[in-house]
Amino acid sequence: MQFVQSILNLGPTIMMPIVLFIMALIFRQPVGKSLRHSILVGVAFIGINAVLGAVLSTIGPAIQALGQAMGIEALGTDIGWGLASAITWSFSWAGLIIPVGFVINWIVLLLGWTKIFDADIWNYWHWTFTAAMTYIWTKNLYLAFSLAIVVEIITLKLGDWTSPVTQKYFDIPGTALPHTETVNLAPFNFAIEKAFLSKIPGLQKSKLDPESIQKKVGFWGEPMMLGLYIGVILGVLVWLVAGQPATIILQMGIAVPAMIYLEGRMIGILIDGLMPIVDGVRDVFQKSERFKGREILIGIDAGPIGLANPTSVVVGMVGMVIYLLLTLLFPSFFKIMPLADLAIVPIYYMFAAAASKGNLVKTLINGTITSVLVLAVTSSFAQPLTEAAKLVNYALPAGMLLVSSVDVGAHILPWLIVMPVVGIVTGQPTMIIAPAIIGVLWVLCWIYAHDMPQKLADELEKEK
Amino acid sequence: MEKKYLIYVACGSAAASASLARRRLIDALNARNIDAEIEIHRITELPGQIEARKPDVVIIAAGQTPASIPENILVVKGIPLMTGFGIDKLVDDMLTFLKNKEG
Repeated sequence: MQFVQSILNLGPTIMMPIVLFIMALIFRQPVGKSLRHSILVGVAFIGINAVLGAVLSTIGPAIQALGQAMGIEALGTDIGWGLASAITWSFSWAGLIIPVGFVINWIVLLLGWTKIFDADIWNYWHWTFTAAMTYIWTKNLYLAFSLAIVVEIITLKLGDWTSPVTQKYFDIPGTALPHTETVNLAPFNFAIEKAFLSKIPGLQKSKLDPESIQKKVGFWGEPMMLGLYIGVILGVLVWLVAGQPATIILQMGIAVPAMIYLEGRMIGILIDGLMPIVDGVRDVFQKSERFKGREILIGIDAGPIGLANPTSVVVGMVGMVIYLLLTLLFPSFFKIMPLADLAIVPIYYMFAAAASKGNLVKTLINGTITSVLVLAVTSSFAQPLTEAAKLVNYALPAGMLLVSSVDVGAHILPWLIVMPVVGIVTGQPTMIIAPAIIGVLWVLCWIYAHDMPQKLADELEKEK
Repeated sequence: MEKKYLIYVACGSAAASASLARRRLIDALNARNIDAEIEIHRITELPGQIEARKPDVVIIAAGQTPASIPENILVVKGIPLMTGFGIDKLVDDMLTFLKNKEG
């Protein structure tokens, strides 16, 4: 037992490859393939830590100084979904979420509660994240896993519900998007469309064509280039407002694109490393006779789908500016400077895009309303995420008080579930109020808009 | 010697999921002893990249196919590379098409 503990103590770089290797063998993958990919996972974790150390030592203090100049004691940094997910995978028990999530999906399928088999193993980190946040606050692992399971089941239901329109609008037949941080915005987005936006006559016909705009933007809109603009803008602010030397503009102009680019590469390695597990899970499912003859939708990652949708991408670029402005105008409320995840802001607009069938103006209005909530939750999860990062020994530079990520903030459903439970368990009733109110609203929106995905799908079919 | 194919895999982000799609394609091609060069691109960059190197096949791993791809290039919908289901059929159909085109 002591030996096991000492391995766990070595952190994710050592532990994750071992756990994944054993898991790959249990899923009957070849030994060589399992070994090679497990090593890749360790390599990825080293890479992630290196990137974190290399870029945050520039970015973190600059953002902190900007915050202090604006009168905020701790203005935190958005370290991006890649690093945030790596932190949540770093808990010794995190790997367990994969088999647990798989078994739960299987049971829910058997019960006929869902049509989805979620093959997007990587994004099981949404449930890991739910468990990690619960664990940080309560130190209760059973509770952590229970809430993760609740979030998984509801997310599958959201994927079922939205699947008629996502298959048609995003042109991905046979799939569903049980992808927590995007699909959990759908109840709001569909309700806003149904109740308000569809009733304003002037908004229904849009002359702007997102595809031609996107084509004009070209490589100037690629994530690394966006990082450059964001870095330079913030660098200028740090120079003017916080009185640092003007060279900070150049430093931020490289550090922010580096963070966005390298983080994407490192996560690519990590995902490559998960291949044997992903294949193993698929093989088990494929060989099973149980679901033959039933309609099954395969759950896939919504990220690349949203980033391939012209409306979401074009609106997302305006969205990035809105995210920055909102934080700069109300820093004491939002507390976290959006940075790395600005590159994936389009995905927070993708269900607004689906709700309006790609109408640019309606997507912008609708998605911006839900984005305010995303930013608020980003700051709400900052303290436990920072604590988690320290607990699993991530190299946060000295003086960096707060980290979070916009993508973490888009985990509205985990927030709605975790906060009230933690509030009750730890005796902090003030934690319950906001999520309880928003949670009731969220449920009402889902009920009110329940017919929308099918209705939109029928309309898209007719327009063809 | 058989021709070495140039295949583009395109999706929205050219990051995380694209590398999974690429790895799956490589594995499927290796299993058939097919030598191919595979590049990942963002969908928005496709027109420029197609002009630059003229690939044999463009696989759209995720999302809508851009209208501006020249007709003589095979465009394949690559959802199987995202889901992991139906990869064999996708690759077999693609190779049959390429062989017929040469033949």
